[in-house]
Amino acid sequence: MMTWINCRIQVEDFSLAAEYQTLVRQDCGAVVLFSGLVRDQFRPDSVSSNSIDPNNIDQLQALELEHYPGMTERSISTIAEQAARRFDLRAVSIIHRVGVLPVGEQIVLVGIAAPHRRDAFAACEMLMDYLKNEVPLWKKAHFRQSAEWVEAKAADKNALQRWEQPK
Amino acid sequence: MVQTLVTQVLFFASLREAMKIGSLKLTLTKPVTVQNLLMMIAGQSDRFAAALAERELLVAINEQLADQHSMVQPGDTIALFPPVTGG
Repeated sequence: MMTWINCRIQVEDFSLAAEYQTLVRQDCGAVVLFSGLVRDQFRPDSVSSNSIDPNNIDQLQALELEHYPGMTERSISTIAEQAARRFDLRAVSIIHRVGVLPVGEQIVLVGIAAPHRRDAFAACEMLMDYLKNEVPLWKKAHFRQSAEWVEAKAADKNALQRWEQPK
Repeated sequence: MVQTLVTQVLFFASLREAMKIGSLKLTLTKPVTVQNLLMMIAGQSDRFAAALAERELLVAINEQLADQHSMVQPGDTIALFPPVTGG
């Protein structure tokens, strides 16, 4: 069964309603949409676990997303094809924004249409795990008083393991 | 006469900022390993050497992920970058 695949890197925002319409299929009983957002947060070392020091607090203003034009798009298409081989899917849409994205903005969309919900949920989770580990994209966190590159997390790396074992 | 082809090396994210350049060109006369290529770049300046030494690096050859032992052919496009953090 052919799977329709749509992958985009773009600066502009996207509309969940419009993307949903591109996914809906007569033979699909499930559409799963995931959107990742820039979350309001403090620079981790500017807050302690039990108190907030107003003199030291450094609040996030925006995330800046950098990519490798060409390889990023190709790498996203590759993981979409992997998901389509592994699960029974009819449509996959992945949109990742780049540039400076202030708190509250949408960063990423993963949309799946499948005959049944289990495949749609699982494919969506697998694609987010691969997006975080295998696609050339980097986040720089711009706080009020400083800026730093986001470090890759071991938890994201470990999340890949569940997809690497045979199903 | 030996044919020489220019090999372009691209840098991204924190590595690009530490190198203070987005790319450089090398002239290779024969295939070398990624490891050799890194040594050639590090040999060009102390800043390059420090930037390459102080972080975990991933490498892509012609937009495909590779490793330290992969061979770089004259004319290939190499990308060096820190672990990815998208999504």
